[in-house]
Amino acid sequence: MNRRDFLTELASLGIALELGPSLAHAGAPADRGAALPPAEAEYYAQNGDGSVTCGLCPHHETLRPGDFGRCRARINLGGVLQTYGVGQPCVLNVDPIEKNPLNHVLPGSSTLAIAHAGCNLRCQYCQNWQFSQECPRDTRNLRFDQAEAFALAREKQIKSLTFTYTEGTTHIEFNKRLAAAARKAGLRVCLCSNGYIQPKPLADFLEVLDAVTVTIKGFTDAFYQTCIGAAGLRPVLDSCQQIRKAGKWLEVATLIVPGLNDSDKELADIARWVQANLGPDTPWHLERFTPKFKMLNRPQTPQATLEEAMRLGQSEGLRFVYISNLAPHEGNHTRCARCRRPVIQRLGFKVLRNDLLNGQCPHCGTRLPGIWT
Amino acid sequence: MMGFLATLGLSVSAARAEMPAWERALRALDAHVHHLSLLNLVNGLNLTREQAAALRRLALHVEAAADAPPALAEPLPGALEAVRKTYADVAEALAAGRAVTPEAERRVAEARAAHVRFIRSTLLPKPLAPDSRCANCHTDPAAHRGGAQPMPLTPEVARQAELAHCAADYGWAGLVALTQVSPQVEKLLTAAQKAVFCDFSCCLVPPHDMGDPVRAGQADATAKELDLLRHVRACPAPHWPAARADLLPRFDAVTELVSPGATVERKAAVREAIAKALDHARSLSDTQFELEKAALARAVRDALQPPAADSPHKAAFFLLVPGSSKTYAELLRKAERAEQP
Repeated sequence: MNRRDFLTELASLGIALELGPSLAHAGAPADRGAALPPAEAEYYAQNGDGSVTCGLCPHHETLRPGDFGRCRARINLGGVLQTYGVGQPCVLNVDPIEKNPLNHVLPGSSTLAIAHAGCNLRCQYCQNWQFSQECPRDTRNLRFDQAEAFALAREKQIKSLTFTYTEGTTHIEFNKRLAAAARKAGLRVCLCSNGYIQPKPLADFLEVLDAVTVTIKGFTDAFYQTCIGAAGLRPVLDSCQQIRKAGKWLEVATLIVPGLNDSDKELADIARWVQANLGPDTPWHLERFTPKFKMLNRPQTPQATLEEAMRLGQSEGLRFVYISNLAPHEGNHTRCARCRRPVIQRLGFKVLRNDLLNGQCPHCGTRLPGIWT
Repeated sequence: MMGFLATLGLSVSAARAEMPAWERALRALDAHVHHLSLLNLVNGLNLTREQAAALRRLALHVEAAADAPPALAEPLPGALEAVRKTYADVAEALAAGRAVTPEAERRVAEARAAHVRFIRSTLLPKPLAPDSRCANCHTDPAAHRGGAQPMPLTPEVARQAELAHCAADYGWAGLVALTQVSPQVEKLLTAAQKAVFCDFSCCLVPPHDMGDPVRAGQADATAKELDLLRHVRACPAPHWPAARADLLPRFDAVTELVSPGATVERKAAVREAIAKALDHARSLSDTQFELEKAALARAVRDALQPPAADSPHKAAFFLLVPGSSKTYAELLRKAERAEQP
């Protein structure tokens, strides 16, 4: 054993302590590049009086000239709906695909994660609020080069592109084009969404998507109205069914916030609905809440709550229930639906061992649902 | 050096104690570092009640054979008391399940810097003899007339130092007991829990990077390295040569934090590796950088980190450190309280 390992962690602490003065002279990373001009949006109608009505999401907002939509990315400029979500992402990462969360899509692979600022919802506990609750004009964006990104993706054996961190449907115009190009470049395309979108744009987007994670944040209209900033739950459930009907791979996720959506009834209701409407093979991710944004006063989700939710999901007939944002935990692993032996073992987002053989359990031969190759 | 000694308050009365004051301080702060690591592991491994109970039993077995650990609450002389107090405060927060604030994190970094200065002030230029007593490599800071002198860690010296440190933590009988129960520790941990130890180094403050849900050890936390890279990229080209010249020597202090005995050669090697990563970061386009940044941040971190040796007893070493039985007992009490209606 190398005891000098003991001190490794101090390296990063030391960076902050020792290098601070030098870094202050080096430059400010918060400096943002000049925002690109907006481009005309799709999915809207002109009302003849200078106002426009956005048809992208169920907010169905009418915007007067100069008004931004709730998403902070779409704006009425002179009677034309324009979007700032056009090739100036604020996030570009190489992430494990499990982080989406997607546990049944190319496990252990890396995904090119991209996000523009903005979201049509106002989750009080948003875990990415620095990006989601901003206008793309106001974030530190990067000059995105699609050809360069795809070339690097090939070089790094990245297998997919994911719209995540913020709401990918908000920037649907740019994202549809990028998704189509990514598919041509041989990448699978995934979306992490709140599902709060109208059927027509969702149908268009689904044409260029392979897999979607939808967050079902709670199971009452009241919860969606008070904590999420949406009119209700129904559009989200409709989106889930539309995605399933379109034959796209779908996983659902619920961030469990203590005292808000953690009752046995609410969680069992979600599980029951998923089982009945999306099928028992739909993976359900139970995500641990960490105090963020406007809910700094709530505690982290207790481990016992997540474990009880997992038990509830399984007792409602869901075959693949996962615990996320808590690791190491047995709830991170994928188990065969039939023999219940672990077939993919994970440490958080990291795949430690994948025993699946062409999507089949190596022990009993059962085929597991998902996109494995 | 006498001034430094006076600052530390290593008094004549302390020197008269059975163990020299400088050795007592070295051992006590080392025990604090171990204790913090243990708390991080206990908080981050998500142990079940059964696992905690089993670890407590094994810890008691090792403790029965091991040397008694230094008393963590016992004050240390002079400036080292502030270091001890900072470590103890963080331990208290971690034990209570509270988050470590950025301010506390900053204090830990400062405490660690003072801790390292003290370690360096005790280091001899080379070992006195091929054995594993503390006094083989360390001495009373008052004995130094020319300031801290780093000891080159040849493989042979490193091996001796390793053994000496383990023996200092556990005592020889404790080490034997540890190796005996080590297979049982391996058996009771899950595969995922064991995987945490692959990259585990001592962890004063747990990682809180949401990019990785693992909260024990270093996980993949490179947030500060990333921040450094972004600052460096933001530096205007005309200012970069001066900023670079100012920045790189500062890594010497960081290298010492990681390796208190770092030699001039080691520091130069670190500087060179980091310079390479920083220059590369600056040469990339936005898109290239965003896709390369994780690897570059790891390169910076790895440059500072000496290559890690592995051991079949690593998990047991960290989990059964003398005094750990009390930590498990407290964990079990908490679990019991949580289960009460």
